[in-house]
Amino acid sequence: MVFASGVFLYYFLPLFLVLYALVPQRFRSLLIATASYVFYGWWRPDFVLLMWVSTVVDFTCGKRIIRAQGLQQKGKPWLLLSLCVNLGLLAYFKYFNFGVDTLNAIMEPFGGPSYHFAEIILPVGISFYTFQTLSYTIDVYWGKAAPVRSFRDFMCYVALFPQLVAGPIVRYNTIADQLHTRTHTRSKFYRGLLAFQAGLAKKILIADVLGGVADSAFSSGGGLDTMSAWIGTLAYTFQIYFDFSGYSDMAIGLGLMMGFRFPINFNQPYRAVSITDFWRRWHISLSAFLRDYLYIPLGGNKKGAVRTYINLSLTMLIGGLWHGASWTFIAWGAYQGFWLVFERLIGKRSFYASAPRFLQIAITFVLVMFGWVFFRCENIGEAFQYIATMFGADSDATRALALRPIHALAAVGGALVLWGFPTTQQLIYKARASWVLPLQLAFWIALLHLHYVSHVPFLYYQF
Amino acid sequence: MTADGLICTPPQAPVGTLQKVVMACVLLTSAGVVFGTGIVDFFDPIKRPRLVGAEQEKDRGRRARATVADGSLARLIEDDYRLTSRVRNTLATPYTRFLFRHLKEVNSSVYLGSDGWLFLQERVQTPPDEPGEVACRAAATFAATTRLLSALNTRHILVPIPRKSVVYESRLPIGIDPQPQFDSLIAPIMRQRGVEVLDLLPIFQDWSGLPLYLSMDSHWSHRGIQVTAEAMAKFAGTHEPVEARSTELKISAPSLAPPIGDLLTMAGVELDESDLQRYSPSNPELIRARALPGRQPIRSTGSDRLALCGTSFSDHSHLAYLLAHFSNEFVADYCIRGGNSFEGVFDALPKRPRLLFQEVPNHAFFSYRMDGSSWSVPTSAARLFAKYTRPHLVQLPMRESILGPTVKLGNALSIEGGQILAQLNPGHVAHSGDGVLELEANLTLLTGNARLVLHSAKSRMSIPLQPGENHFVLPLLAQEPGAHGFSLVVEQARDAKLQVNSLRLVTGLDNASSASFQKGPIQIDTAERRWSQTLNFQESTTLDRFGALALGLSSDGSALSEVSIKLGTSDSEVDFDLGNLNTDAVITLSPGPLGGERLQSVRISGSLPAPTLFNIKGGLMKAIR
Repeated sequence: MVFASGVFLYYFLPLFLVLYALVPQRFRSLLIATASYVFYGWWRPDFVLLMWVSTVVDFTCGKRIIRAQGLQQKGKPWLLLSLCVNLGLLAYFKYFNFGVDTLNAIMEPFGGPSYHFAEIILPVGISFYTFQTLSYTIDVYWGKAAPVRSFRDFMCYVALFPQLVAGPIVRYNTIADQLHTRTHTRSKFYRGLLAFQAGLAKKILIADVLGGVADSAFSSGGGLDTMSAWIGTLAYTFQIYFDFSGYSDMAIGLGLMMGFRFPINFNQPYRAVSITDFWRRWHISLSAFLRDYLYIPLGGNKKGAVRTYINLSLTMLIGGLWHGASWTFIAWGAYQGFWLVFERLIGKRSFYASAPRFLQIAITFVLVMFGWVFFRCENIGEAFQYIATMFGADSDATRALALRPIHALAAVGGALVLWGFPTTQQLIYKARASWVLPLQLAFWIALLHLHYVSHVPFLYYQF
Repeated sequence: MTADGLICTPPQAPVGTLQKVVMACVLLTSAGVVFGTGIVDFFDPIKRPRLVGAEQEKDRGRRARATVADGSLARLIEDDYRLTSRVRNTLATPYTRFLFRHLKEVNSSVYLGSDGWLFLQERVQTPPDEPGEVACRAAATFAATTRLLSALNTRHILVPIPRKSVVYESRLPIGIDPQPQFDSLIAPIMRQRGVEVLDLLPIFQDWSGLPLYLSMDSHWSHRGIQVTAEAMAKFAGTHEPVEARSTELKISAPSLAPPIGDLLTMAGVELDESDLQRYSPSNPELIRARALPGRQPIRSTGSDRLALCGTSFSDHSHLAYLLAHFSNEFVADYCIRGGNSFEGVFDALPKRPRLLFQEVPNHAFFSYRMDGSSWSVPTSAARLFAKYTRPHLVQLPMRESILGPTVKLGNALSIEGGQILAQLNPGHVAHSGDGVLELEANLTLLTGNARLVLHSAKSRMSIPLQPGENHFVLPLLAQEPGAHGFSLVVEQARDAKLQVNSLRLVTGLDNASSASFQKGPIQIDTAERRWSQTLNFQESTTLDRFGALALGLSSDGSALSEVSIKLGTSDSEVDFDLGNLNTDAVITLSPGPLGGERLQSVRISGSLPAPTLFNIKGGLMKAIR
């Protein structure tokens, strides 16, 4: 099920909230878990089984790790089992065909056999919930988190529908206490509703509208003029932010309605003054996950400069690969890693460190935009060709994007939200009438627009 | 950012009066709208739109197949909700209108191209097949139709309607490729199979500077109708310039305005007078005139000379009217909106028109991608073939055992779905797959219901059995000539008892008209590892367009492998690859595009080893009329 659909908004959510308000506190985790399975299994019920496998394995591993530690043993085998199962699921469902494709490409010049692709459907949100359950066993193994008290709570944690399919990645130790002790107030509910409204408006009025422009540009197959290529990239830059942050806002809002406090996932990333700063603001829950479970275990910045650069690059490569089984995502990760290393090397001495703040923001924004070209294109060759078009390399390029007034409205609205409006955190904390009223207008138009268009799935579902 | 990185809310509710009022309003209106919409839509839904034809079939199939396991039921529920939501319907209409008028926005089922041109998305998209294969698949059905109509003395002219997105490709949004090769291959492939085709694509492309289609509608504009009508009259040789006429035929113009703007409607924008004024073509006389639903008033009585079997393209426009105008002849209009033109052909044939135009929108060629039962073209064609039989059918000289009836003839049998009544293995018969060879069946349905399906070389024709005696002759179709088998299978049988009286392969060729030929010696080409034998015909031998080369082969006990036959004229030749044949194979091959040409020779060849004893009977035969 998707948030931006009539079935969710007018049936699932109200019914869930009414039941949630009616059932006693001790049954709420069970209700959330049940509703989450319905939500997740709506389109593919069989994938719920997969989630159960992950849930049961990690719950058992967590228990066994604690028991082993109590017996003065190491719980490493159980940690390894958890890692194998979760990463195995991810490897099979997400990366198997990528591996086959790569192997075929390597073997082909040597006349080696060509392997067939398996018919695998990627379960929605698998990257998110496997990372979440992994965080549980790792934290329990490291002693950073107490094991979950009941299986019911653990089911609720893994399946929690607001953030199940597209984040934010909620690590177990950040939510452990909230699973059995959380407050429900009218204020929280109201602010959750505001966050949800903001997210829905972002998704429908900006991301989906500009998504059409980006799709036209990136599927043009060449011949696009230079200006259109830039507009297409800009449209995608807006689309991916408003789509993903819109989903995160809705998740945070729904969480608040149920009394949960989720991690903030975006903090005005397009106001970043450097790529390093960008990664402190963009998909914060993933950055933090990779930092704590990959970068730091690799040695972080404690093992000398060269090792730090290697660790940074490796973390970003894996971060890129996490987004999808394609060389374009790896290239995007490498591109981000390059700039992070560059900034560590000479960034502080570089020209843009001493530039005015707005220039730093502009330069960072443009660098991020180029990264999104790799992220969006089907293959690396296409990405380079597209970037060449942005610099006028295609002399035959004459086709212009068919832009309509609604695109301009969405772009202006998006720019205002990006650089003029408060963050979602500020909006819901202060809840000023001067912010809430325009938000209401945007939300009602978004609902109307939702009636008008057939829904467009969230981009991050595919990751 | 908060200290712990988590979203943070103040512990207490807003304190200011204004904030309290705003909070109350937001909570109340949100709850009201969400709960209200759910309640209204659940208890007072609007009716689902009524579907017709292929769309109805598709929808039925989708509902029948919907399951929880693969999520198809969930998608169906979501789609139904969108279609039946009263709130959505009430609010979206003015909103859609506003978006279209002020922001030039349309919804996702329609592409908005340059200059406000709308294109239906599903007609822009093409199936993931080879373009030629799409046309080949349909060509056999049309070739058999042409053959049947010719036997009934009706000249059949197929008029494929080019897709709007192909004629006006430059007006499509950037990045959308309508794959024009799908359309451009239809006419040549149909012609190869002997179908007479009025190819509108090059004509429309020549005229594409003018709006031949309505910008907001998927159908022709008055100018498109005019261009088509004139092209039809010229192609049929009935075009008579006004100044050359001795008498003027009086025809009444259709009287109602056609519903232009279907794409607008699809985009959710309701039409009003201002739309009509804004988007209707500039010739108001024509556009105000309107065909009555079903039959137009210009239909003649008595014998029809010109018949137009059209679709919504000519039904809600004035094609028949203008065709009558350009030809100065009565036109019998059998256009059926929402159906396919085979139904019109079915209705037209009792009058035996001299010339029959059959319209087929090109997008209909692609719709076979839907499940077999949903593609209405072969089913409608089957109804036509089952009803009308070519006169003087001749039984093909072959043993009954080869035909392979799997049931005992003349006995009453309880039958079940999936039961095979007859099956011919490939190799016994090679044919063109264009209806030159047919299966004649005589069956009596004693009780219950059942359908019969004839499967032959990727083609599937299904007809319902009527209680009592059923006699029908169905053509054996194939995408290309070759050694093809077939099977006659029972489907959807319910408490059915059936008696199969006779099954035989028949053809409408005149044995007596067989042109004589002289056989040359068998020649061996060891380098190519092939043998060949040439049949030389007399100089005056002409290929009958609806005739065929009908040969009975017999060899010395070893089957023939990779056999091919070349029909050669002075200018060109056609090569038929027939595959492997049995020792006693029967071959019936139509001349296809060489119809009407002088035949010089026929060359039979195959892979080694060559037959040592090789008899060829039959020859070039004309069609019986």
